[in-house]
Amino acid sequence: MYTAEISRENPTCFLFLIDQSGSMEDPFGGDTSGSKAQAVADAINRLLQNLVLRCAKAEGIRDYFHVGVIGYGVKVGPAFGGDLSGEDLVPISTIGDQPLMIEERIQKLPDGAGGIIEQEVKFPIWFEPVAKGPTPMKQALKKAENILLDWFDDNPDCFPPIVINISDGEPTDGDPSPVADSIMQLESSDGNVLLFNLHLSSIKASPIEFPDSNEGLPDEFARLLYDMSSLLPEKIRLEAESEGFEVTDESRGFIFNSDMVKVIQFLDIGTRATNLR
Amino acid sequence: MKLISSCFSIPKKGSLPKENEDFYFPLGREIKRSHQSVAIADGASEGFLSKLWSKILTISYVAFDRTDLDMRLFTDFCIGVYNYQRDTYVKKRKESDNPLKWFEENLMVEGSFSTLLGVTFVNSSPTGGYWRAYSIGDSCLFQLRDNLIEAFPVMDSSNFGNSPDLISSNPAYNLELDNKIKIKTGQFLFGDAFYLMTDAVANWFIKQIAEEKRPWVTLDEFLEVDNEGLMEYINRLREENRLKNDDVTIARVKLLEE
Repeated sequence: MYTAEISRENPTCFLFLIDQSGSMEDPFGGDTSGSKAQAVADAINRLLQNLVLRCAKAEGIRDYFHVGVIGYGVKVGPAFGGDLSGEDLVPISTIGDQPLMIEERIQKLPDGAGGIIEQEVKFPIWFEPVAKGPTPMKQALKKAENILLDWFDDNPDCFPPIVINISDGEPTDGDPSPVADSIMQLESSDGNVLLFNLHLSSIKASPIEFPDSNEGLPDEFARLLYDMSSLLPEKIRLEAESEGFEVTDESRGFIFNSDMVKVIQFLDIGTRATNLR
Repeated sequence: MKLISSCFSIPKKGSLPKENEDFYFPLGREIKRSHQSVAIADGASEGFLSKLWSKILTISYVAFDRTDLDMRLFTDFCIGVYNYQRDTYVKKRKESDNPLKWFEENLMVEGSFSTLLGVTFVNSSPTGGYWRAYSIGDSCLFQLRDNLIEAFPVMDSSNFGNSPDLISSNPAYNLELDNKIKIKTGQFLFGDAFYLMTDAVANWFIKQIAEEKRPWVTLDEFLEVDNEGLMEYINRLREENRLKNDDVTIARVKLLEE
């Protein structure tokens, strides 16, 4: 299981569910450097860029992945901007070709001779921060389930899709657990859908990454999201281990209150399927 | 001495021949020289102009043709050639009103990556001579004389992974290069055959040997006859999940008395 090749003939999909509720305007637990919404938008834009680069060649972008970004706040629906507005799942080549805008940023790299060189790189933006309204997480998961059901009609043998839910806490439309369970029961011939959760709490509490039990989690919402998270398959567990995270056979795809560097690492590990063909 | 070469190379299933990022050099079937190098490289799937980089590495290795290769000097030379070729490519794209897109520019900043395995044969006695191989990554060399007498640098199937050591066109990623180079020297007799292979087929080859089979006999038969048969054979191994779906390159070099 979790060994299917990802190719242009047999692509997989990633779905990101982004909490856009009013509380996402708050900074991370006590930190005043910026809103959670802005940090999440940066992380998602960086991840989309990495996904595009992994599929890009000089002759174009190969459609190994289809990607959806679903926002939930005032409304529940696709969160891409610009020409991609309203699209549920978009082939990665279309994402690469149609960013909302492209910023210039400076990247520092060693020059190979002991010095540092600054290189200008493009930073495309597809997704802008929004923080308004309630937290209809259950509806967002239901939306994800419907998208995945359609996906499996055409892609029954794909590497199992990965759903990453990013939220700061309390759902306002009821218990999302039954829908989360349904999503985790969906399967291709290569295994069940993986649901991972990233909890960005406003309370001051130490970060917890890939826990193997819900003991020590600070509140009921963290425990809820932990319970809604899939066990890490071996391949992803090894990736997490090689990035320096402490994991066990029982570790789940859940992180709580980590800094943005860890958040980006988590997103990258969660989507780093290695057998692209 | 006389080197008789046969080379077979196909892309991963689902890819076009032009998307094959492996490269072997030299391409000539028969070479008569007392000192000759050959090389194989496997350009990384995730990267920009990987084929160009694997091509530059192999051709340059053969042009250097040294048993005392200074890898830093060699890499700097290859990077210089690569930068020139890359800039020419970028200029052509611009002139044809098709400038690089943002993702190509970002990939270009990262650079290209490839494995490299090069071997130099030196005819130093009436019956044969010695060889010296340099390796970065998991492309493999096998020496055969009735049976397998040498495998380099990978001896065991478990050593193949998804993250082999790579040589980069970007100096920033070559800081640990000295620790990644493996060097091996051996003797050859006229009549010996050397196989150079990229990782997927090398892994199959090593597994076959572990099962006390003689995979070179199968490959020899195909290489003597036609590439079509070998292509079908490789595709069948892929379908049976006995061979990873990856670019496959097999080069055989027979060393004979001139």
